[in-house]
Amino acid sequence: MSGCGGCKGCTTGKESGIKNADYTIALAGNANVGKSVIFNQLTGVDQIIGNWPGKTVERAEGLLLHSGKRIRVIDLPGIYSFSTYSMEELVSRDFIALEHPDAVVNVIDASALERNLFFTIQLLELAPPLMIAVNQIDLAEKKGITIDTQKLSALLGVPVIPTVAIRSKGIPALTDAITGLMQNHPVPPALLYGKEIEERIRIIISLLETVPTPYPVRWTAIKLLERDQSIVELVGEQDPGITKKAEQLASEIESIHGEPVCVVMSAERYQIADRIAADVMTIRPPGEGPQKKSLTDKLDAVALHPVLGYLAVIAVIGGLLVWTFLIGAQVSAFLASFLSQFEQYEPVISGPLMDILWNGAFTGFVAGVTLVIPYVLPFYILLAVIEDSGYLTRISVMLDRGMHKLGLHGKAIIPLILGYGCNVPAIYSCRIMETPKQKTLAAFLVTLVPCTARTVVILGLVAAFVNIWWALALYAFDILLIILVGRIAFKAVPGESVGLIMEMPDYHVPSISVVLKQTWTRTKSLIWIVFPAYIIGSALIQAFYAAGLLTPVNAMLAPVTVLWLGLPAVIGITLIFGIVRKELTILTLAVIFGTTNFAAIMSPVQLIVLALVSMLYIPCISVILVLASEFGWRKALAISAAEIVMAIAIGGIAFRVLGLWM
Amino acid sequence: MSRKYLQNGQCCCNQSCHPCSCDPAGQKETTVLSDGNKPAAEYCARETIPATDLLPEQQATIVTIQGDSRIRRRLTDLGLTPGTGIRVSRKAPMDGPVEVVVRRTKLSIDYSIAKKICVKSPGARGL
Repeated sequence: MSGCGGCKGCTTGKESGIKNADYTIALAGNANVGKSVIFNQLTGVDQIIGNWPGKTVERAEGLLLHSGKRIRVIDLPGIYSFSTYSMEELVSRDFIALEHPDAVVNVIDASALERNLFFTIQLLELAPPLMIAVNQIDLAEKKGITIDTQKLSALLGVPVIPTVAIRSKGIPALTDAITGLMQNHPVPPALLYGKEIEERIRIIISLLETVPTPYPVRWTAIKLLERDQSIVELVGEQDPGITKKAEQLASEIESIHGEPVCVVMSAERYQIADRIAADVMTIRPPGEGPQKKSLTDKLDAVALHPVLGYLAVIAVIGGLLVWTFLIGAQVSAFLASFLSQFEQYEPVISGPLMDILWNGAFTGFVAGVTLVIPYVLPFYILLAVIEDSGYLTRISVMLDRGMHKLGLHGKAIIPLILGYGCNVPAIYSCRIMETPKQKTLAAFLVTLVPCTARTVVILGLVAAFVNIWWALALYAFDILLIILVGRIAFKAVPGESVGLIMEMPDYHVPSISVVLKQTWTRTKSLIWIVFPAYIIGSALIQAFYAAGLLTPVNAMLAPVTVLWLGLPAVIGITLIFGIVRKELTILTLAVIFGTTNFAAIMSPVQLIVLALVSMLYIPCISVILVLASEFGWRKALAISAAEIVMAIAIGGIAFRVLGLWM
Repeated sequence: MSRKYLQNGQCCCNQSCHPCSCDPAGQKETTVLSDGNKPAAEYCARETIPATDLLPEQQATIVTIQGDSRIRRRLTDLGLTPGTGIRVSRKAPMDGPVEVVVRRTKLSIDYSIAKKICVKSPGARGL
């Protein structure tokens, strides 16, 4: 047993979900190398997996039970270095340096050894108890690359385990090696840089003796030499003489190499990585005859083709929506006819309070079954297939030029597509954007993407009672609006935008088990939110109705809802409930009228206007909360206010224009 | 402090910045997205050419990278260090992203960033 391993889990992790862990271990490595797959294998938690870099934005936590010990496993976001000051890098670096995990597993991609070792070298500088999982060795072997893991272990001085995580290969050996690290806490040996750099590192180390920092001393010295701003500040506060000396030494290196010191240091690390890779890696020379094209090359010939590529994007995104509509409409119709008997119920507005609440709650449950399951499930299944295949990054490349017009670049298309499922994870994924401006812009546009909840409203009101073409027209209008608003926001939001730099993963054939698990994880989390919201929401509206509270609220909102938007007065209260969850607009409507045949209470124009307003008027509460936590309340409220004004303006205009010919 | 080490007399960001400080607050380089008007050749010295001028499948060696220091740093971290082999595997039309292969990994890079990657290629442009 080592040190105070027993208290780490409960004292340091401020967001720690796992209590009383005996040990804490972390998974670190480049983006898209299979960390989340290994995490799922170790913990049995279904962390979302996807074949695009930057998917894990929040560190995920799970519990591994091994030989009677409770081990807290942290899946850190994928990063390439500790130098660019993105949130993900700072989180990872401080976690490893300051929370002293009992073991760090560096997951590396066998096919891109040098680039992965570049990060390993930086991990070694932080000197945690380190081991390496060389993952996807099967894919590397297909490319003719074999890696001598024993030799790699000898060169780096840390345990190295080959794995094929997706097929559970190497996981037992990995767990054993982790146990070894946790118990012994070995300090990995330092890898040495070129002579002129090592000399200077040593000078700084000798100066640092009197200055305590929470970081390892060699690492601090290297960071001072690299002019790492936060470390320069940290040390400069205590002894400005040291930072001055480090600055002088950095300039010396720059005059020797003729490049900025950070480029020199990266090049040095890559030299070490190249040397190690050359020692441990054998690449089978390509055979005689014409080269066989890989699956990725063949697919990219279409997916990134100047003409066919765009057709593919339209086919895939359009296909995703049409598939959701077609499957959803079928299943929904079936469920609705099955449950139609329940719609005969008049709302219970008198009698014992429990009856009123029960009736409301039951209506909410029925609505949940008929509205959510049919549309959400098929959408998530196909989204998981697209994500797991690696195609999302190709859409990013194809639409990169267009996204420039919105001050964004191709990567921003990933949050926008995820937004069609649910805006909440889509807004988190905006962290893949580089600058604060681009993160804010992307998140703002995501809130305008109709999520499955809004799809339910559009389909339930317009597709069902006007026609499918008007529903599709609303989607098309929404895309135009996103482009227009994005253009305006690009000019209005201060800050800078940078261009695309994105790793292109190889395609995989999506794994059925990954797709199903992913769909289930997403649907499950939705059900946990949706059903309580529906049940409590409809019980509440029933109670409000019974208590006679609806009329005053509706009367207050009437100038907007009735006079400007041309909707029935009762819509006022439903829009307020819709802030909780967008489907609650039609759910409360159904509760109040005791029917889902909305054509009986509204004209086609009113149905379209209501769907349009519901789609745009404000992000739901969960989205507002996520916006506030990512960007602060000021921006969250500004976005909400802007959308309320916009929705009311557009709704009123639509009411008048549509009235001309409908 | 001397800045003579910089090649071609160009500074990595602007006069006041430490080329390598990677200081997010100190640098005010404007939008990198929309400077498509400047001819690519301006970024690279005579004996080098921008990576965007490479033909598909043409082999080259990175000499230096110009432009915003954070972008340089990111590219360097991804393996685009001076002296590394680079190959353009695909170019999108109308100055769209350029796909390059470096150290057996594929990266898609914005056109205006890729044209600041200065490379040397045997056989190209009279070399």
